[in-house]
Amino acid sequence: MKKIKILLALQLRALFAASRRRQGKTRSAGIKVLMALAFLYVGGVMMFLFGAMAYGLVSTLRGLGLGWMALAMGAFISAALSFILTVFSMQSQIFSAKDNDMLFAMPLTGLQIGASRMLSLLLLEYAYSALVMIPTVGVYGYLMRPSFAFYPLLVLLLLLLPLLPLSLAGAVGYLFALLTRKCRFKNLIISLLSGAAFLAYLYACFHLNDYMALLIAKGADLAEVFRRALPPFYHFAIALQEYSLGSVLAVAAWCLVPAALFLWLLSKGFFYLTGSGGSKVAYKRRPLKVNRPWVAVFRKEAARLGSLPMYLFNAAIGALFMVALSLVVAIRGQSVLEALFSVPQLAGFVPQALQAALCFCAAMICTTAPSISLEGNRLWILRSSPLRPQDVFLGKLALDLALLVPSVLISVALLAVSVPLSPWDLLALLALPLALGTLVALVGLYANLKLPRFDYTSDTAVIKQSASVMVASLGGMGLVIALALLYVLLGYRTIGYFPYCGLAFAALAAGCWLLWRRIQTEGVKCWEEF
Amino acid sequence: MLQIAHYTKRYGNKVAVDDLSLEIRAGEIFGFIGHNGAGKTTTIKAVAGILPYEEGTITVDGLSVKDDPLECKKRIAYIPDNPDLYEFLPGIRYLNFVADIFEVPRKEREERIHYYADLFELTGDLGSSVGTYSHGMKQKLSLIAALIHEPKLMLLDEPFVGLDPKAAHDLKKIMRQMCDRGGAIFFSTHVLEVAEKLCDKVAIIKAGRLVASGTMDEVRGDESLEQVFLELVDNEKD
Repeated sequence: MKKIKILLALQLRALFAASRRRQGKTRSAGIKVLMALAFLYVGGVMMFLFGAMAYGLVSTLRGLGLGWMALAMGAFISAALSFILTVFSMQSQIFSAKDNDMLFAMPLTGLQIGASRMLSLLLLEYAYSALVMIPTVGVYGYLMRPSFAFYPLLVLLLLLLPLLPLSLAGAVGYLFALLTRKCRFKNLIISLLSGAAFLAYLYACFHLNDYMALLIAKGADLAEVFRRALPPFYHFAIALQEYSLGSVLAVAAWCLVPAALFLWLLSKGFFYLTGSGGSKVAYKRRPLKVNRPWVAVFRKEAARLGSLPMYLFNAAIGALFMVALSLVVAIRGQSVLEALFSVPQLAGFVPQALQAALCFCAAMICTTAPSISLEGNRLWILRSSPLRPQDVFLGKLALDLALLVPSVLISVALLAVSVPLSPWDLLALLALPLALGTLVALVGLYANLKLPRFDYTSDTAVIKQSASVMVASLGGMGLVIALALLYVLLGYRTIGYFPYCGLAFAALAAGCWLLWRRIQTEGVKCWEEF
Repeated sequence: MLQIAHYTKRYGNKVAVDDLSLEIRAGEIFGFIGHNGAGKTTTIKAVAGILPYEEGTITVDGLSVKDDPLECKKRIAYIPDNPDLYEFLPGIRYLNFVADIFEVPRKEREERIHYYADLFELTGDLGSSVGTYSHGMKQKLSLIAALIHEPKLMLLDEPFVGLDPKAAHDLKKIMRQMCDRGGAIFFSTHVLEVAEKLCDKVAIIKAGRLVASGTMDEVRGDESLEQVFLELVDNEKD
């Protein structure tokens, strides 16, 4: 147990350690405050959304005497969110962590190493669970007024509940590691599965209102469905509503037994699963392709993107959304759009709505934000080569554009053949997402030059949890919101849609130019100081 | 080929290298010896152009590392003590990447890659990802990558660590051939026997300061290099 505690402390230090540049420079207090505010903002928005959903559920279901179902739903959504967010990082955090070899060389068992990693993930799951359950329980407590005994029991159950999604995510990760142990296309398979799972999750989220309507309409029937199909969540809610010891024990069994089974599995196979690396490929001599230096950097970056499923998933999900959205509009949205176009008051807003959607997706495409940090211990290769820093930056930027440009072109082409849009509309749909996506890529690159992180043991630390990624994502979303608000508040009433698009494009292009210039001066300086 | 004059490197208040001056001429294999943390890697990294410095001058082939870093890097090959490579690339793609960066023409890169890959018995593994390589194989791959552009100056930080006896033998042969063709090699090592047999000149650094430098005979006199090194270290302690 002592060793697990030591390892857990190490994991947590790696997770929460302030990012350091080389030569021991640490972040300024201002940056830390900004980061904390950004996290609070994201957390606050999510809690608000879950709170609003819980309010709708509790206020409706309590009239039917089914108030407990809001708790069951909250527990289910919290578990689903925890599962989705954990299963994607299981490979990089547990089975392919960079310090596996070092730890296995120490007098530590697979169980100790695995358990410490699972515990650090469990703490993250508590955080994910808090995002859903704090607003849900807050709303439930306000509207249902449970007795005092409700709260200590709730704390106990909330401590148990995340063990279930964690064990399930661990089992899926374990199975996957086992099946793809010697597979050459492991990364591609993980990427495809991650994309498919996330699209399924989003599909469910987009249809949440339908499910809620169904829940309200068929509350009693669905209560029975909950009892039969999702017993841990049913018992979670019943334990809290009726203070039933039987339900408390049922929740404990549903959470502790899978966790114990998974730990047993880990103790048996962890070493085996982490002990081998990839497959050998026979080399056949072929003529080598000659590239310009920045193209070589681009190709290297593309290979890295393909080799890290989480990176590909995080950076390219916007491209996937954009094309999927256009496909859905082309295939299934025709009738809706035709109806909208037939109403004169609404017809004028269709291009704007499509513009907002494409810009939103474009802002999500960002390969550059972790790209400097991902050089990690390999930084010496680029630094000792006769490469201009600008060529390195250009290669990294080119990868981003290689995702952005085709996805915008495909989307606009799909919209052009399926939606009655004017050539000016299409031009605006091309120009703004491209300019916005390019600016986000530059923001990501600049942020990573200013806020690199090289001291990581899991790629997750830079791909999902680093400051530069947060800056690029929030900056991108902020830009989309700012452009939309400016249009609604000013552009719409004064200059109209196309002149506004022209002005917005000019502003974004100017932003790109200015930031690229800054990268070429200050960014180069940062690069040379790493 | 390489001139280091009054090079000083500080990390905050700590002086890592203090007023170091060395000269390595074309055709010389120059060994750089010192205990752990003496400043060997700090010096080699500064010459390679990957560690900024404020005091002193470093020139390669007459060009300042500080003022003309790209031209210097074109003449240099650098291999760190623990060559972390792009594990996601197959070996051949890594080598082609390096050749692209150094703008080596196709014919030359193909000839050199296959010559050195055959020499180091790595040809069969070039299709596999670097992540599947052993430490020694990575070391060999980084050596091939270093030789692709026929550098005038090689900077090697502990180059023999991890190499099997045959590869170590081949590397020594390549080092000598390179110097015979007019190149120069500046390398750090803890293996004093290797330094003694291989080097034309040697420098000993202790706590960032140069304590001995010259031809092997000048530094060693009638003793072994190991005895000289230990005496110098002990004297410093006293």
